[in-house]
Amino acid sequence: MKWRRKRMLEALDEEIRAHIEREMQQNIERGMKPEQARRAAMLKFGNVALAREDTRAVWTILWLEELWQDVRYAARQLRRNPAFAFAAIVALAVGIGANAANFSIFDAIVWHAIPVRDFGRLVLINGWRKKTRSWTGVSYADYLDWQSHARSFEGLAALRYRQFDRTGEGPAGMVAAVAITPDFYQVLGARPFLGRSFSSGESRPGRGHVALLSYRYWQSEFAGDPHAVGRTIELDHAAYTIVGVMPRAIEYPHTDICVPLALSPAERADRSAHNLTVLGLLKPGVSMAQAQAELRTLAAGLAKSFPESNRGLSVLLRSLRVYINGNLSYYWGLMFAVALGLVLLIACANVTNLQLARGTSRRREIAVRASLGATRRRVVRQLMVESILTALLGAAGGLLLAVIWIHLAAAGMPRAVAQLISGWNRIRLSPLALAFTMSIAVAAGIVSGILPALYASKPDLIGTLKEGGRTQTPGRAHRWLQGALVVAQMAMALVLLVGTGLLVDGFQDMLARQKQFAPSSVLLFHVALPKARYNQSDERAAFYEQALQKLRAIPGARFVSAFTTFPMSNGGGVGRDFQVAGNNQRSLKSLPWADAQSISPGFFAMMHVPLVAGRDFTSADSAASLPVAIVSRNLARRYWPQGGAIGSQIRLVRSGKPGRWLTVVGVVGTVLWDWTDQTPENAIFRPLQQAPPSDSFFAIRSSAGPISLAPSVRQVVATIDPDLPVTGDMERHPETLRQAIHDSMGGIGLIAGFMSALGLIAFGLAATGVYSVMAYSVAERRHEIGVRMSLGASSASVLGLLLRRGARLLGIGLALGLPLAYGLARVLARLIVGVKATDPIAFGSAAVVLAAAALLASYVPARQAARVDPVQTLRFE
Amino acid sequence: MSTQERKKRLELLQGTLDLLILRTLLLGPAHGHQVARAIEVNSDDVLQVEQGSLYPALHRLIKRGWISAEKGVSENNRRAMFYRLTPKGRRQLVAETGKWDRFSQAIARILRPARQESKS
Repeated sequence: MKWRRKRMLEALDEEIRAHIEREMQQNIERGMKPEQARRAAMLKFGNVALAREDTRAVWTILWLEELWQDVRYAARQLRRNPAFAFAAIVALAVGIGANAANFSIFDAIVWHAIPVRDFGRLVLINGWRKKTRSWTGVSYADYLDWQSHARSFEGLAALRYRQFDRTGEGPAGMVAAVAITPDFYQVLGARPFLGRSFSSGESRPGRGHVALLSYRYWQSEFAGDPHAVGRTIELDHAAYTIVGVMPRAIEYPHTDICVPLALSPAERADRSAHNLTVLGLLKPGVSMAQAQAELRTLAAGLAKSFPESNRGLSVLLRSLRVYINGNLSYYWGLMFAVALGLVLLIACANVTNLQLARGTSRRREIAVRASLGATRRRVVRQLMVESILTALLGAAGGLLLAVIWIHLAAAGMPRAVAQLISGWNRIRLSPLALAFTMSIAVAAGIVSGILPALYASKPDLIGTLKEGGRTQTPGRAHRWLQGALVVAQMAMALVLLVGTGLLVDGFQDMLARQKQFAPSSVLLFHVALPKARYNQSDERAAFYEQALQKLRAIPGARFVSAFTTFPMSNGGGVGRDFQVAGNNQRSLKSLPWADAQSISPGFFAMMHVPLVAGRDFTSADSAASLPVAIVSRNLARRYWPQGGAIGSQIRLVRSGKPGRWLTVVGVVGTVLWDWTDQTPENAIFRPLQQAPPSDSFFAIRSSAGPISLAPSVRQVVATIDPDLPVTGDMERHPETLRQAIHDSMGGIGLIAGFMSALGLIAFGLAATGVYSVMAYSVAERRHEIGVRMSLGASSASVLGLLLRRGARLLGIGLALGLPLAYGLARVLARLIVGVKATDPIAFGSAAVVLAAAALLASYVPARQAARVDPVQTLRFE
Repeated sequence: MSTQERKKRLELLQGTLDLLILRTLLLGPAHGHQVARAIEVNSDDVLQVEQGSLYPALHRLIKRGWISAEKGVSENNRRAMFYRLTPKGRRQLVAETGKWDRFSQAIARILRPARQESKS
C-alpha cells in the first residue's frame, strides 16, 4: 500500500508540470503570446503547492482510514471464528510469553547486571605477564601514569581487595573489604544510598579511617539502621567512621565494606607492588580493543623506562559485564535464546497451518471481495493485518504467562545461588522487554501470515466463484507447503526434545554422582579463623587438632573431617602452580596448575572417594613429620603414566616462590568439584596439620539425624574459642551436605526445569500441528476416500494410504532434525559435566516420543475417515 | 441514522467534482488536462474547475478503486498518466447519478414550491 502511494506521488510533480504546459500550449493556439499564455495557465491551475499538498493528504488519511477498516474487519473475522482465534492466540501466547520472560531474565543478569548508566562501557584493567600468560595486579605508580596519559577513558579508578577482622563492639568475624580511590563510584556511575562516598582528602595516609557499607552488610550487621551513618565500626583494632551505605542493586565490588585507598608517598611510588585492579569508563565510541592497544603502548614505554619492575608486563582489559556474571551466563542466555526462537517458530508454523486450512474456505469470501474491486495487494494487506492482530492478542496473553514464568524463576532459584548472580533479584518485565515482546509479536504475525495470505489471495477468481466453493481441492503447492511446515516443526521439536533430554539426563547424572557421597547424613559447617589470633600456622593447627578431637567425642558422630571445599560445591580449593621433581620443568614461570586443598585424615573415607594407591593421611602426619601429599588420579596418570607416583616428589609454587618438596603418599579417585567443568581439575591434597588454612569446612557424618548434632557442635566450638563465628546462621539453619550440594546444583536443576518446560511446549505445539494438518488433509480427501471405498477399497488400505503421508513427513522431519540436534548436544556437552553429545537415550527417546505422537496424530483422523460410510460421504458431497 | 444521512448528503455536495470526473471518464481514458478541459467544455464553460483541485480528487478516486491510473504516451508523444474508469467506478457512477437526480429534484421542489402539490 505504501509502495503504491509512493509510486502515485512520484509521478505527480511531472504530471502537474505537463498539465500546465498543455494548457499553455492551448492558450498559444488560441493566439496568446507565450508569456501571457503561461500566466493564464498558471492562474487557471491555481496554487500548485496547495494542490500537491492536498493530493498527498488524500493518501495519508485514506491510508490510515483503511488500516482502521482492516483492523475492525480483522477483529470481526476473529470473533466469527472463535475456535481458530483461540487456537492461534494460545499457540502464539505460549511462544511469545516464553520469549518475553527469557528476554527479561537475560536483560537483568547480563545487560544490566549492575544498574548503572554506562555499564556497557565499564572495563576492568589488570596487568598481564606476557611470558606466563597470566594476569596480575597493577602498581599505583603505573595507574597514575595511565591516568595522566591514556586518552581512551573518561575516568580511571583503582581498587584493592583487603580483609579485616572485625574487633570491638558487635559480632567478631572476617569482613571482606575493598580499598578504593576517591573517584571510584564516580567512574562506576553510582551514588550512595545513604550518606556520601569518599573525598580526596580521605585518601591521605592516616586520614582514611572512614567506611562505606554495602547494602547487604548494612542490613545484616546494622539491621538497616537509618542512623548508621556517623556510627563507627572497629576493624583490625582501628575505629572507622561510617560515612555512607551503597544502594542495594550495586553488587559490584562484591564486598562488605569499602574504605579509602590511603597510601604513603613511598607506596605510591612503588612500581613493584602489583596489587590493584583498575576500573575504567571508556569514552563513547572507543572500543575495548582500541583502549587495550593504547594501554599496551603505554605499558611498553613503562617497561623500557623501568625494566626492573615492568619488564614483560602488559595490560589485559575485560568488560565488567563479562567479569560479573561470567561468560557462562552469556552462553546460557544464547542457548535459551535459540531454544526459545525455535519454540516461537514452531508456534508460528502452527498458526500458519491453521490459516492455510482456513484460507481455503475463505477463498470464496476473498474472491467476492476481489470481484468487487479489491486488488490483490489490498487483500493480502487485510489478511496480514488480521494475522498481526492475532499475534498481538497472543502477545497480550504471552505477557501474562511471562509474569508467571518470571515469578517461578525468581522463586525457584535457591537463595544461595541467586545471591551470586548479580541482577537475579531485579528480574522484571522492563519497558525494554515490552518493546521486545511487541516487536516479536509483529514479526510472528508477519511470519505466520505471509504465506497463507499470498496463497489465499492467488488470483483464481473465476474458478473459485464458479465452483461455488464446493470441491475445494487445494493445489499441489498448498499440500507441499503444509507438508514442509510439518517437517520443519518436527525437526525443531526434535532439537528441543533432545536438548531437554540431555539436560535432564545431565541433572540425573549429577544427582546420581552426589549420592556416592551419601550426603544426607552429613552435617556441614564452616569456620573462619580471625588472623589477629590465628596468624601463626601452629596456632591454626592447634585449633584444628582440638576441634577434630572434641567433635569426634560427640555421641553419634561417626566420621569427622575438615577440608577446604566439598565435592560439587562449584567452588574449588586454591589454585596453585605445581612442579613435579625430575619432570624437566625448568622455568618456574610456566608451570601446570592444580587445585590445592588441606584435609584432615578420614576425608576420603567420609566422602567415599576411593583410595587408588598408597595410604590416606594419618594423625602421624604432623607439622614435625615428613611433608606429604596425596594427588588425584588424573594428575597421577598425567605425570606418572607408568605408575610410580607413590614416593615421588612434588611441590607447590606460590607467586613464583616454590614451597617445600612434598612426598606423594597416596593417589585417590578424581572428584568433581564443579558441574560446569568438563574435565575435573588436577588436585593436590595436603594434611591439615602441615598446611593449616585460615578457614575450613567441617563435616560430621551421623546415622541418626545429623541436624540434631548442631547444638553440640556449637557448644564444642565455643569451648575452644568463644568468639569464633561458625557459619552465620547455623543455629537457625543447620545444613546437611546434601542441602549444600543441592543449592550449588540448583542452577542446573532450574535450567533443566526450564528446558523441560520448553521441550514440553514444543512437543505439544508440534503434535497439535501434525494433528491439524492430518485432520485437514483427511477432511479434504473425504470425497476421494468415499469413491475409493465405494469401489471396493478396504478401510485398512484407506487407513494405510492416509498414514503413509504422516509417516513420510515424520521421516523427513526426523532426518533433518537429527544433525541439528547433534549440534546443540555438542554445545551442551561443553557447558555441563555429565552431558554427552552422543547420548543414545536422549536422542532415541526424543525421536521415539515424537514419532509416536506424530503417528497418533495422523492415526486418529485417518481412522475416522476409514470408518465413514462411503455412501454418506458421496451424498454429502 | 439521520447523522449518517446528513453526512452522505454533504459528501454528495463535496463529491460533485468526483461525479463529474467519473462521468468524463465514462467516455474513455484521459489524462488530467483532458479531464479538466472536458468538464469545462461539456458544461459550456459554466463550471470553471480550478484545475489544481482536480488532482486531489483524482487520487481520492484511485484510492477508492473507482478509477485506475496507468502510464502511457499522450497524443503528442509525451509521457502522461492516463485515468480509466474501473467497473467499481462505473457502478458508483450509476448510483451517484441516481442520488444526484433525486437530490436536485428535491432542491428544485424546495426552491420552486409553487409547482408543488399542497396537501396539508
